[in-house]
Amino acid sequence: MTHTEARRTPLLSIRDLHVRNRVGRESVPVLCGVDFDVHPGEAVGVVGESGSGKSMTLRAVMGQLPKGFSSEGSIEFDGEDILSMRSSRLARFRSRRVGMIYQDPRAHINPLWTIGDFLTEAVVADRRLSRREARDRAGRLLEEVGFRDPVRQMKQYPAELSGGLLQRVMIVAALMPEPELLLADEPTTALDVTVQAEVMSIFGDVIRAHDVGLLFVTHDLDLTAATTDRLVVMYAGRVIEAGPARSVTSTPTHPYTSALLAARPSLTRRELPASIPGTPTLASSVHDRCSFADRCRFVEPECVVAEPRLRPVGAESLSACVRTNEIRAGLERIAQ
Amino acid sequence: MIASLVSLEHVTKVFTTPGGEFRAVDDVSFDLMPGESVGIVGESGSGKSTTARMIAGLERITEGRITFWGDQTRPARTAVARRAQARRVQMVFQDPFGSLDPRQKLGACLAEILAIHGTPAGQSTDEFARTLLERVGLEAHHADAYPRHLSGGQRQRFAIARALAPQPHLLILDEAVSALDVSVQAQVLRLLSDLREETQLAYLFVSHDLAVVRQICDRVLVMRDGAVVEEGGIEQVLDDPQAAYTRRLIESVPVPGWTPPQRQPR
Amino acid sequence: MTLAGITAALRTPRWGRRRLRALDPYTIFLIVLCSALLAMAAIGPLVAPYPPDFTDLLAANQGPSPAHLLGTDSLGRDLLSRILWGAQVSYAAAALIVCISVILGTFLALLSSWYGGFVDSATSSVLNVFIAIPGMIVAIIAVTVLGAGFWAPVLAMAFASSPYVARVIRGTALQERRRPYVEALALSGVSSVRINAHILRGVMPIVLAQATFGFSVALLEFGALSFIGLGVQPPAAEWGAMVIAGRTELLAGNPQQTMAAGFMIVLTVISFTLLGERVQRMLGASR
Repeated sequence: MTHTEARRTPLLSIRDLHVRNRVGRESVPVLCGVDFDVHPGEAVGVVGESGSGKSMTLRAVMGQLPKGFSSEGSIEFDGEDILSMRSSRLARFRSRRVGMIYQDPRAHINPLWTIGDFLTEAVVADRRLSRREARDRAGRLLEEVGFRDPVRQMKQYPAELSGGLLQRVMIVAALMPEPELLLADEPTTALDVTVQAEVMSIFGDVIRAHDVGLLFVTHDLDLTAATTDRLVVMYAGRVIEAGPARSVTSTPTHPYTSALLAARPSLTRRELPASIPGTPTLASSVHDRCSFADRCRFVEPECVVAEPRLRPVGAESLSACVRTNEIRAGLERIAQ
Repeated sequence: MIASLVSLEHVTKVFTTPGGEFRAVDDVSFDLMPGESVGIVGESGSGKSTTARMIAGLERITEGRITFWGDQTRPARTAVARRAQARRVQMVFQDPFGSLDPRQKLGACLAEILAIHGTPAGQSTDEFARTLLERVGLEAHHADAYPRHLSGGQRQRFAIARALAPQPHLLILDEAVSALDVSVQAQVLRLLSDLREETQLAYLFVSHDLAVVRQICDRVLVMRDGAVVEEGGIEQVLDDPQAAYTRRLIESVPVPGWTPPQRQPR
Repeated sequence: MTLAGITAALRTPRWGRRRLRALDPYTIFLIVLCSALLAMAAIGPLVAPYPPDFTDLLAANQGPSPAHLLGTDSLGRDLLSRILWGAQVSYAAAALIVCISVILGTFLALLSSWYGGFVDSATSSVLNVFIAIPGMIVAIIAVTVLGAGFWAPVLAMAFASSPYVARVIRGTALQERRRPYVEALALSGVSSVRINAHILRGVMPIVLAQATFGFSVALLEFGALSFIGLGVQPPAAEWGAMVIAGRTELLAGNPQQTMAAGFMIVLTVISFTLLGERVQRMLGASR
């Protein structure tokens, strides 16, 4: 990321986002103080395991929190707070300025419509393009994502396409209204690994070509490192580390990131990955201490005194570990 | 010469659907030795799961034969045959929740199986059940829990305990760690590795994840569209792949420092 | 495979105290109401003020009074007592019909879904044929052949409704059968019978819902049979028979017999149907 890009105003700015779930008479925390930005043309990966809150964060950005969930804080998109938008404004936001790509394309495409109709319907109904213009744009985008004969392929039905091709169609659908931001929730998890590689490559090309921001949720560290500029690591409903993707994966600043990197099985050597003792902590079970303290090998008394805040480490990174500077060498060693 | 535990000879599986015939497995042959750990890798549609299921007796073989210690297997129809089959092969499934009866306590689940197969000499049902739970890293009090009280990793460990209850010779793991978080997956892999050292159990590890297979298996078969594309020692196949498809698979796996390979138009 | 084993497998773990506390007032009201109705049937004859066939022609066709809380019928018999006695007959008939049809229907459903293939299609075709024949027709034929009374119509209606129950349960049974744990159990060497006990626990919510709805339907249909004179014969008290018997008196301005019996039928049917619906919703939602 160049110096000038860093000074551009963020496209999406999440500040101190808290989300709670009302269960009976109690209010259970799900997200606790999530903070990060996405700049225009920037790809941000959000990584975490189950219960980390990564998918919930995406839903909050879409304004699609489930019933019974309340939120505090702000999610600013181009100056407006999504959390307090009126539903008509929110609808316009969702249909024109942001595109969403889900994990299972088949669940989000009407099987009775042709691909062409699926792609053009929303944009035509919104009266932004005529049918002919919409079809032209769809054709161009399909070609960009690798369809060799878009005109013919637009007449096909979803059932005739494989999962990988369908996911590319979803990407095109998300790009049709020329949005400024793309949101992707584990878009390649359900795909075969060879197909995944191709789709990730397309993501990279597409966001560069159209200068859209990308918020990409996944559990795969190496996948995000390859295709995003910045990485945000979430644990127990909080952001515990953020920074340039390559440096987070090579020189992590938080013990959890380091442990997560060490837990990956290696393709090149037979060495059983180190596991993290215990099970992932839920946001609701953390009180006034570091959320990772119970499972951390570097824990010291200072870690259980109060909840650590995200603080800057170096020029471009953030870490929620109070001991990060002391243990840096150790973290890097574990992650290798 | 040591007899192979499982031997597949020109095994083929054809599914007949209203839309036509589908060759899921096409002329596959290989041997699995006692105590060996063999992986089958492939993407969806490769036939790896179907092959494993035929070995387990869950799918009928269309052509060819599968032998266990030299005896040809037949689909188990009678209770006696099913019991014998259960003592030969057991399986751990991908879905840690769906493969357990949600209404049955874990202890009762083990007891049900032990009532059929008995326990090793000297141990009562309760004792052996407790041993099984502890061996997979669960605690005795988990016997009173229901599947919904356990995390995904714990459920999968229990599934392993249940698979060990009939004391089988071969354990088939069908994408058994694919649905788990990375840190939990690491725990289960360690468990599987330790188990093998203790018991000389043979493993057939079906997975799409090459890195996981590297950690657990001695040999690997690469399958594509029903056929075996490459076969060999795990190090040899992953470090020096001969088949183009194997190379492509390896290139597509995200590893540290990876970038997506060049794409082809469709 | 022993009976103890099967009953152990059937024991549903869900009805703990915790679950009961989570019920809303509406459901509690329904449970109390239905329990009261069943209690009435159980102890009714013990608390009835008069025997059901005690005629007193001088007190015929009276409205509610201190001596006869619901009034009397055309033969001077106390309506309250006849209602209480009749409850036993009506409920017993309905309960028997439901028990037999649900047990038979569930068995057929499990059999059909377990074997699948030819067994399933053959059984389903046969069941569909029987479903096409209205239960009432079967009951009427049975009564004509075997004579009116209690057992002929009860058994006829029980066998006539089991195909319908079987078809409803078969859908859920098939779904349950396809779950991975069934395959896992088979692989572990568990016998088919025991595995079906597991599947049975899975379809219990539907079975219970069918039982509760079926109770109401059976009550109505048995009453209807008595209505046309093919069920329980006078002077035995039975609600359906009482509705018809009070018909002429209704027109003469003495509606109490028809209304009392009719109201009890409607009350029972509505209460049990609503309860069945709640039961199904609760058990279905907690999956």
